[in-house]
Amino acid sequence: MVRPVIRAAQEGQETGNGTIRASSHFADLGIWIRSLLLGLAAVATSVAIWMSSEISTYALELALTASFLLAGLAFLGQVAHRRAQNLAEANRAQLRQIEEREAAEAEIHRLNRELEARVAERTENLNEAISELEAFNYSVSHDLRSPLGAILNYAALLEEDYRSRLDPSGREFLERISASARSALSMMDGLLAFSRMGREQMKLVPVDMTRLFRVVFDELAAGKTWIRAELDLGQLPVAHADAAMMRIVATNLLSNAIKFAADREQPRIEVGSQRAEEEDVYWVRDNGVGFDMRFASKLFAVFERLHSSEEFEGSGVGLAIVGRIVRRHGGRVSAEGELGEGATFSFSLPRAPEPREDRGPSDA
Amino acid sequence: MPRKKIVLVEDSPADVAVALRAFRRHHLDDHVVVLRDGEQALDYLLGGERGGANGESDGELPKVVFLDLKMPKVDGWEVLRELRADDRTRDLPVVVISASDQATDVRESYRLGANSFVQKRFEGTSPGEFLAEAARYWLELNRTTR
Repeated sequence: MVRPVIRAAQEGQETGNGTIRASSHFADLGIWIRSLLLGLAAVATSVAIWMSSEISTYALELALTASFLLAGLAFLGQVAHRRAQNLAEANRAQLRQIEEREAAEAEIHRLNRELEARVAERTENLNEAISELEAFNYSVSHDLRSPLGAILNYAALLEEDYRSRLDPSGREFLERISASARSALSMMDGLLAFSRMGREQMKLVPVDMTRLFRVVFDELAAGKTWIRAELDLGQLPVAHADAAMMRIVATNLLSNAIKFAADREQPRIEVGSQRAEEEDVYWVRDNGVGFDMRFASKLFAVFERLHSSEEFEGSGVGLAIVGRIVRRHGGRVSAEGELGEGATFSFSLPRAPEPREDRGPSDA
Repeated sequence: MPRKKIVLVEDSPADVAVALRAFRRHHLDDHVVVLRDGEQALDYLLGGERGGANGESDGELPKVVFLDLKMPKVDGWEVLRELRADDRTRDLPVVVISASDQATDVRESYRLGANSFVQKRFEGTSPGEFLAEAARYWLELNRTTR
């Protein structure tokens, strides 16, 4: 926006110079003619004087010389005058150019100031939004957790003290109250975790994904005899990612796979990878209940679930958190599945710009 | 007047009810005193005048204080600050209990001198169990280190 202004000013300057130069040529020509005429006039006068009276040759020469000198002086005077005029014109042009440049600079400064003001305003709005969000998170975790806790606590006390006085239907209602409060609590915790994932600073380090998936699986399975699933873990490429966040990704994908394959005759979980041009794709496959591909796009949305919470428990934010983490790393998530045949969840991570030798891979 | 071994500073009646229930399960209910806000807690632990002039603060200190963060009037952090500023209660074991486990709450609690931070859990079958277990841990720790 500013550049054309400067260019226009420069162009104007150039045309100005050209005009000045052309007119000065014509002026010089005029001076020559005038000087010549003056000289001729002097010679003619001298000749007339010589012819009319008897004056010595010396006097004549003197008169002639004086005439030519006068003519020359007149010529020089004219030239000097022209030169001064030209210089003044050039100075004026330069001055104009400087003024234009200054005006352009002032415009740039004004625009910069405007831009800075706008950035400051937006930053302030953004900070306001962030602190509002933090206040919201805070009040969710304090003020909403407490009454839900009270519901759960009283339900537990009721169960303990009055169980014998309730008929089966009453006990069932009580159980439903507890289950609802627990699921609200878990959704709230999930939502908090989801929002935390969006704000948390990321520290990218080499992460040994093979080790990570193994460790997380063993942790999930530890002490839980109902988990009969076997893990078929291939050699995975080292990721360039936030170690803590990768642990969350692995935990969510593996616990999903374990959960949905639990009722199979022989639950099987496979973790593998695929090398693409500029990224590595990791996938987790299970032979569980699977899902209808028509709903694949819903899987990674918050609180979207394809199974009722009675069928499979969970807060409904696990995959949304995975999606958010992977997207923050510049990768993509996808899901493939078939009802009753299992599901495959994939995520891609951009490969590290330069493999570094100095640091070994870190586990999560 | 000697103080109880376990002090629970908590304003939520539901949380108090399940805590007492859990302490009873562990036969600790005789050793527990419940204070409903920070003001009461400071009076109990530092004496009515806060200077210990009325002799009430001469009794033995509790083995552990469970301190809720969000309370009317004087909140948990304020109590913690005052306890740590007083020579008599500088080393008194204080376990902060909170519904939230926000990183800022945890950090601030430890910065002010909490010995531990426990998020309130709402266990279905044995509510308040986390408090009773924490109490046993601190009583045991006190016994073995003295």
